[in-house]
Amino acid sequence: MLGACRPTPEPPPPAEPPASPLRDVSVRGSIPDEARVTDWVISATLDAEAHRVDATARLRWTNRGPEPVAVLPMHLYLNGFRAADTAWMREGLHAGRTSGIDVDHAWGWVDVTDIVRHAAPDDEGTEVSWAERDEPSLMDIELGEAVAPGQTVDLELTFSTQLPAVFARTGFAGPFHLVGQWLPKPCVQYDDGTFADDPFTFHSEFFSDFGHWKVTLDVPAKFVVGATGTRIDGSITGDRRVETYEADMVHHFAWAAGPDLVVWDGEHEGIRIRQLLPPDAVADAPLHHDAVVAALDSMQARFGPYPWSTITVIHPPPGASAAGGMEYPTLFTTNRRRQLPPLLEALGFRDRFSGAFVTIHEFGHQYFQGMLASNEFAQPWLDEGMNSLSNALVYLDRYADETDPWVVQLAGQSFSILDGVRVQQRFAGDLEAVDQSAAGFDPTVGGYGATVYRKTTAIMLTLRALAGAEAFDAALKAYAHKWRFRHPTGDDLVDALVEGIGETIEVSEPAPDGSVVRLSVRDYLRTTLSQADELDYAVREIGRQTGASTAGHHRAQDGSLRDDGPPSLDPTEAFAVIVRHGGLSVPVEIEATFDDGTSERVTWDGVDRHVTLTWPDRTLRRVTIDPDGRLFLEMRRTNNTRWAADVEPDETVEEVAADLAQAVALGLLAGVGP
Amino acid sequence: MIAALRRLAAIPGWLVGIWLAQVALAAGVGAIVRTTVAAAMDGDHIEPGARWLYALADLGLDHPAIAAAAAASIGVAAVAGLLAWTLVVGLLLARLRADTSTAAVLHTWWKTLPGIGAQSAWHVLMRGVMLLAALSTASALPPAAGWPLVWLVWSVAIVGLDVARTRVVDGARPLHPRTAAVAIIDVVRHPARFGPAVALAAAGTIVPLLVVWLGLSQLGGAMAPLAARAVALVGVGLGLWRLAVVVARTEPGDDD
Ligand SMILES: [Zn+2]
Repeated sequence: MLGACRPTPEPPPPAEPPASPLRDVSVRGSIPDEARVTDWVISATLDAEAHRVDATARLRWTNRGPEPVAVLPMHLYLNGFRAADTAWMREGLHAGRTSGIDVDHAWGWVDVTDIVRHAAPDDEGTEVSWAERDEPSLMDIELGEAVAPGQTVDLELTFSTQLPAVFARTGFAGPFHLVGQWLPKPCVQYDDGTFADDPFTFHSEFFSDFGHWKVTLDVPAKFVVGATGTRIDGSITGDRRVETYEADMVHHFAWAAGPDLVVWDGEHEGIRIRQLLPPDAVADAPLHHDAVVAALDSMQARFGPYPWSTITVIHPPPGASAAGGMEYPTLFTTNRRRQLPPLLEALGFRDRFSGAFVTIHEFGHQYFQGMLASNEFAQPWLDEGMNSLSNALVYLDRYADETDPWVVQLAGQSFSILDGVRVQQRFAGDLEAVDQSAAGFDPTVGGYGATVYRKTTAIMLTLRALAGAEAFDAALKAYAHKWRFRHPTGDDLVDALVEGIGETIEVSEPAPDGSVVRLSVRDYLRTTLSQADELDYAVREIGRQTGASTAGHHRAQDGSLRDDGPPSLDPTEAFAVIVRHGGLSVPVEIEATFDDGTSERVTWDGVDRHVTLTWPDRTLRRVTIDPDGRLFLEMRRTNNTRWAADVEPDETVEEVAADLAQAVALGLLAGVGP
Repeated sequence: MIAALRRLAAIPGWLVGIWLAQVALAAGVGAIVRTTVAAAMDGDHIEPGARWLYALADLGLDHPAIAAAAAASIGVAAVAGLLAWTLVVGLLLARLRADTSTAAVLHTWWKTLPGIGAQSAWHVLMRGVMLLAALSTASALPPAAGWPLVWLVWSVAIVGLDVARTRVVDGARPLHPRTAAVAIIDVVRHPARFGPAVALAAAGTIVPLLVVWLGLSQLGGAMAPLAARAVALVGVGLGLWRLAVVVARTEPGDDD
């Protein structure tokens, strides 16, 4: 279809790749030695016709645990695509993710053909045995002699990786190859010596250890290559191109190769921002470059320096869009910017979301997973959810100079990233607990995105609003600093937030009796993260009732009955009944506006299912719950305001909806005649 | 052009009447939506200073029936407008063609009603084919050339329908598709004669967009329905002017 006219810009001249995969230590800071667990030297050859990669990998693995290790469990992630009964495919078929599958090239796998253990760099080595588990995304290597704590083992693995036609993350589309989770990788060893030998499931991603990588890729000469790390060598011999990449302190190496890709080299603070684009997407390169820069600026300020010297953005060509929107260390795939029909543009539709958001999100994973390498199987919210929070903050930072930072505008009406957080929780964000393993989410219910991404964001934004942005941001920064190049858990994050913000926060001014409403930060996080429930307050009723009075007969001091007058039946007291519908509760501010134009705010702890608030000798005009919109977890705000029955509201949604419907009808009528 | 405008000035009731009918139909849609939303809200309200795109999304997610009611009532209004206009246009054309007695105008209208209906139906088919052809041609062009082409084809089609209806009033074969086809071809073949009408049609196509844009941009504002109605009046004026130009430039009996 037609799109708006945008000229295609010329790519900037190609730039030399950075010499080192890491930025200078004075910029990035030091990296703890104990973070280094797996070092790799790999040589891989792509058969572009068969869509197969044949490789040998020399792996040096360090036992960082307390016990000797005789059996090393490994992930064979790509085997998740090997058959209909793997853990991944069972769930994926339920969720319909496989609908675009190419039945002739559906399956992908990694087939290990040989493993040799070396005692010295150049020795012959000894064959060791290995066995896939029943769930083929895992295998165990019998090391023979156990590896003592603190010692290393050198293994040489020969394997062959068959790529599927891409329908989820990894695979090929025509001559384009996105080689994602393509090699056997050791499972992460916990401090107690046990291994995170989780299967590869539909919602789960990856969990690995950091190390150094030197990878030589042999591809057809006409192919352009993008890969984790920096290119240190390259040559063309005959019809083959051989390039060597080096990466350091990353937990994976991914690459893409295909013909007809345009390279767009950019730079920011000495970081090479390299984009590989199909020709028809080149016009979008500046947009994605700016998105990476916005994310870099925001996240470096909030979570510490970006340590690597490169970031590579792969734009999947047409037909490979299923590879889009996936993160790997110092490399990610993004999505296309939507081409808007001019009719929408004529109606003043503008967005800062399409294309740019995916780039910001996948870049964000360089921190939330790339550095803060949490277990994506066990606690997907810790990277996806916290990353989504950081994405919202990128938008707030990037457009901080605007009074109304929109992500979508229609005829001047704005929709913000925070509006989006609220609305998107509505899609089954109340049916699953945030803090559970990826395999725990029901793929048929489809609440994974609303829960893991959006609800986590809302939980954190709500805490940020209640605790104050400064305290929250400082606590999160401390967390990011402490857990760089480590494997934090949800408890570690909660501890860091409690430590930074305090055990309790005061969420109200002192009442006349001196009482203050407090929130326990730990309880708040524990309940909101663990309960499949929602937060929803509503104004049930407002009005006037007969207030307290001393009319009637009372016993006087002298024992006689004193007449204190006739009863006053006129209502004198304003009241409002506030109810809590959802199972979650958070202290909430309630604003009452009176007939004399004054207003007053009270804070309710939200613990009971309802509260009746009263104001003697006042008359209410209106009551609004959470007037400043601080409770981002409250996904429904249509029930947050009531006006007194005899008051005409300033503006009502029925008027607005009616005006809009009227304008659309009038527009259509103008279109059909005369 | 100016003569046509003068001709139009002689019948101001038509301008006001058609506009009021449109406003009334749209107001009816507004009333249905207002009642539906008020019933769904049941005494609740959006907080003051609400962000309307968010508020409408929030409302729509809670009450999907509102969107269905709005879409249905807007659709019914549009279809009613289309039918009413098809019924009335013969009357207007007869009035523009000849300053005769009301009885004579009514007689012409009644006599040509089936023909105008038939030509409208044939024309819808032809306009559909033209639009598809224009879109497929435009998709091969750069967008800066493609969209104006679609716009031009659409405007030509509008005038083609005007010409066909006028010729039915003037006595052309009322039921034959040839009348509709020749009318479109003539508009293309005689740019000097029909160019002004095509320009008025092109200007008129902006009106619906502007009306919806105003409705959106004024959400929650005091001017919301008024600004949209004012633009709609301009739209009716442009449409009637175009018809008057077409009538003036279509000679009776020149369809062959
Ligand atoms: Zn993500």
